[in-house]
Amino acid sequence: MPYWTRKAAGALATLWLASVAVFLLLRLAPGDPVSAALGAEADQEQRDRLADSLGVDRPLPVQYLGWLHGLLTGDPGSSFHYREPVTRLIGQSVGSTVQLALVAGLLMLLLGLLLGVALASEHRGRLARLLDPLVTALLALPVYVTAVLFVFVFAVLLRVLPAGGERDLLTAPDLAVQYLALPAVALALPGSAVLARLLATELRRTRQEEFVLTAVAKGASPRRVLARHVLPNSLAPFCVEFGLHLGELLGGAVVAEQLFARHGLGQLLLDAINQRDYPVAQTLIMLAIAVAVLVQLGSELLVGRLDPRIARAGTGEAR
Amino acid sequence: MTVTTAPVRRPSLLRPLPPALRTPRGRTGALLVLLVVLLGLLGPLLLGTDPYQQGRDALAGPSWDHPLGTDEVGRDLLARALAGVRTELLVCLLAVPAAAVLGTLLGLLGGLNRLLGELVQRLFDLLLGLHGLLLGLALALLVRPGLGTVVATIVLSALPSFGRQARAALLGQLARDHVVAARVLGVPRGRILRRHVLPNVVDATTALLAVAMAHAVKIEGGLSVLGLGVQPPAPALGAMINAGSKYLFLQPGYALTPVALLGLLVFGLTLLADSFNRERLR
Repeated sequence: MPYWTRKAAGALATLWLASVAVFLLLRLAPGDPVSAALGAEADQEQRDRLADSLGVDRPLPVQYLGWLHGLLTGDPGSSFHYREPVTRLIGQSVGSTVQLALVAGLLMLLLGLLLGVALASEHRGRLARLLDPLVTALLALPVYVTAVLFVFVFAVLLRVLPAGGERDLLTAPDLAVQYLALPAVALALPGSAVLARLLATELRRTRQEEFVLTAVAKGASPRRVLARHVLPNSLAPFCVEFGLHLGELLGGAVVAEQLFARHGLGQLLLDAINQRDYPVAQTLIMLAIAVAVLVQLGSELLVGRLDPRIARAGTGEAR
Repeated sequence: MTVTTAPVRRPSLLRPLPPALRTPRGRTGALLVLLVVLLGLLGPLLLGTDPYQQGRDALAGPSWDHPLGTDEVGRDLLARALAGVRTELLVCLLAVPAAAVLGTLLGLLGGLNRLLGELVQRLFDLLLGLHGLLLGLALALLVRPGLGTVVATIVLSALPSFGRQARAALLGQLARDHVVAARVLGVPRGRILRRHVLPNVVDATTALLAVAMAHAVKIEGGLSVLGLGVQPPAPALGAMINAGSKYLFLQPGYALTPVALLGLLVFGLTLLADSFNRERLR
């Protein structure tokens, strides 16, 4: 089986397992979804009408297939709480989260590359010795710790950036960037520290390889050796890890939205959980898993392109 | 399990000080963790203030009675932060050892039955795909948030790393000559697992324990920030961070105290995990 079909099949299997698990969440929850939706004071006629429209009286596999069909055709049902289609609710807050995740993801990539190259640098000056504990600290501290510290320094002490809130990136880009800066950096830092460490280890290993020694012996400048020979051959594990951390970023985004008062998908999910609004919560959790799985699949396919040895391994072509 | 069954291996706990703790990194980490743990254990005893006692002066500044001031219902901030450390430690000490034992046993199942081993691996894949916080959010939908939900989230999210470690040790050991010899001689599988595989797993698990502790603190804090952790009025660091972040201009100590305590704890645990890992790889 070719590399990409193997990886895609694995991703599909995970998605399927996840969909079953998320679907069962609703059925395993204490109390039935009808009471959860209507509350205790609803009369029997209301209950019957909702039970019929939700289809909770049908057998489980039929319900599952119906739910899956709704998800795939973009109609995952209506919110219990707002009495609006889930898709419309998601549409209202998806922009905020996408902006935050995109900016944070880009920052994570850039910071990871820069810090990684700096960590692996052979010039061990005073600054470089400070870099190691700094990266460890960034790696250790969770989003909410850095977020509060940032707000305290930049909004309370220096008064240069807003403490919370948001503006639309498309209509007011200059303001939006100010509102995005703190949450995006706080969200990006832990992942970028992990990436930096991984890249540094890989760079040090690649530097020992014979083709690098050859390039140095032939008189290539250190910059050229790094950019042309060492870095490209060290990027494969970096890519896999980047994919993994983009998935983790979604979890962090929920926390960042909470602390920075941004009305994105994370807040929608949190409200849905607190109000037992199962259709909204299930769709959002499924969406988060799907994004994480697909991003990871993308990064694995990219690695296959970057390093064909990985793609060939296990297919019998390698040996 | 008795350590004496491990052949020609001095149990690492009986050495005077593990080498990982002799590096500057390890020593700093151990000191930081010790500091926060001692603050959590002894602090409330020395302070003697009730973290639940509400007062008339809300959001008051530092005074003799309230060294760090009070929160929005007049409760002592220092007392609540120190009690929050206790909650944090309780959750981690309940969840991480449980995850270590359960994960290791699940990982070793593959040594008894191949199909069972594969099934467990798929389960681990799914748990890894969900990440800690998302898992907690999904669980909060299933049951009411609280101490039990937080512990369950941490156990579930830490299972895969312990399980995979155990499986790697298992596969590594099963190929060794002395294990093959033991199997040829007809030693039962359970005994092979106990005598040859388990001691190797235990060794590798020390480093993982520190990593899992750091993760556990982060997950507990994160869920608590979102209001899905230990429920109020019980004190929790994350809940204080969330509530305090609204009063950063007025009462900076409200959020900064729990941030400092939680930050120092996670940083110390990460330093410890690092030095254990480096020691093992040397």
